[in-house]
Amino acid sequence: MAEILKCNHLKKQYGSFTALKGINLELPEGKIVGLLGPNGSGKTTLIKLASGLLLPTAGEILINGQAPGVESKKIVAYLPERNYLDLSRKISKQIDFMGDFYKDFRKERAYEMLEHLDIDPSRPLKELSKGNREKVQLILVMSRDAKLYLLDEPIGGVDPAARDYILSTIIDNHPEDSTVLISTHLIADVEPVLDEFIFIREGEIVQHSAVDEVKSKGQTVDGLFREVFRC
Amino acid sequence: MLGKLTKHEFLTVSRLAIPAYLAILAISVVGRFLTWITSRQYVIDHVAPTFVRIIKILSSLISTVYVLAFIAFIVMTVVFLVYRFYKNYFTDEGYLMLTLPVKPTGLIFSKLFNSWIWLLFSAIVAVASLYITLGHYDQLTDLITRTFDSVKQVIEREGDFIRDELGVPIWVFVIELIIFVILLVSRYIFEWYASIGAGTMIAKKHKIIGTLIAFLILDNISYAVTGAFVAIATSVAPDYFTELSQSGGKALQLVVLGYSGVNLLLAGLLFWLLTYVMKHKLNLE
Repeated sequence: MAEILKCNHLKKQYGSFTALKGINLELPEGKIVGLLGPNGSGKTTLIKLASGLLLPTAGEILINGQAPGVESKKIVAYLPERNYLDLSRKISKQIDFMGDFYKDFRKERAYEMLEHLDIDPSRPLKELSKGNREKVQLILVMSRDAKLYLLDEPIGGVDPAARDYILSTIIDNHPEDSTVLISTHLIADVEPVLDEFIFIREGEIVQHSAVDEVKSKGQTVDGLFREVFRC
Repeated sequence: MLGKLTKHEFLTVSRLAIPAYLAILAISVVGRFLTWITSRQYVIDHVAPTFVRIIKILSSLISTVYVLAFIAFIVMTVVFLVYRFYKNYFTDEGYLMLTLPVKPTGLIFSKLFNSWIWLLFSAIVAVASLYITLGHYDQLTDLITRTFDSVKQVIEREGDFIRDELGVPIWVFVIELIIFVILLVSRYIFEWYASIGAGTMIAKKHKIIGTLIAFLILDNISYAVTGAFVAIATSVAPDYFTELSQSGGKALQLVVLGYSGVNLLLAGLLFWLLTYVMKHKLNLE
């Protein structure tokens, strides 16, 4: 199976602080992968490097065989932790904006998801609640037929009902051959949807396995996480 | 992609700029109307003096509001265009804008083009609002027409003389002047953009203060570079410049071309600094 994301001795430093310590990683196509680790372990840095927002200090990161750039951005759908929406726009204008820049953006899917949530697309983004803005942002990301989805803490800071909605939206809308990388520290919530998981601690990958492998030993990823990251 | 970026930026800015334009024009119309009505003899003769006085007070108030609004309008146009660049690329909105499948060059130029467009529109609205406020439309129109006519006559009558003085036909000099203005404005815009890039790189927590400090530094460097060019040019060929200063036209043309060249160089350096920061030293947190 071809790799959609590959890291070779990938290192990232912010001044004297090393966020990633030369990691090696390969993610195949068509998997849902959990990037799991405590706060400050390097999850967001890895995702920012993959999305092209940061450049590596050393080593390399490849998306579909290419360094992050204009070509990789065409096939990567990125959901950051932060709210990136221009609040002066209406939702429908934001949809037009996404449609203009991404060939794989499916407007009809976006409108369908908005209707399902009973959100009026003609409303300005600034009028939406924080929770609905997050949902709109997720809808914009999941309305793309991307090859790689990078979702940074998509269920952090939302209530359990919203978590279920977010996870089902991810599962229902990503193409089968695409890979979804979900960064989170809420392991129990994402565990049911994962094919693989990566444990990351202090900028190093401590484990990368298939979820089935853990299950076959009668364990859960959540349990294993607590064991590995015991304070 | 550059076209799409420019289009979306234009639409976003227009949502705020057009109401501001309408407001400044509305204040001009109201102010002009009040001035006009209180100067009518019929009104003075037939309306109660107290009422006329109130209208005159209102008219003075509107004039004050107009002057303040006009200054705010000019300042806010520049501040808003610079702020758009900061907000779009160096705050949380950057998570979207900088992950679009577009090169940093496209992101920067879309903002530059919009700055040109909106500065031009603002200048037109400012002139229109002054035109409305000042009144005496017949005289103003007549003045503009006469100015154009006299320029035309001078060009027709003195075309050869101007060409000899400038060393180039007048239309070439007009194009040179337009390029000069475009480069000068672009340099200032890039100076602000590069200051935002450098300021946010240096001051991670206080980005706006960092931007202002970076602007002071870059602006002083720009003046120093310009001064250095003048000093080098005059010391390399002092005789040429002494001779040239006797011929006003040619000296003027040299200043325009030389200053355009320096602005092009500075704009290029500032653009390089900005793209370097956006590619290598991005700091969205």
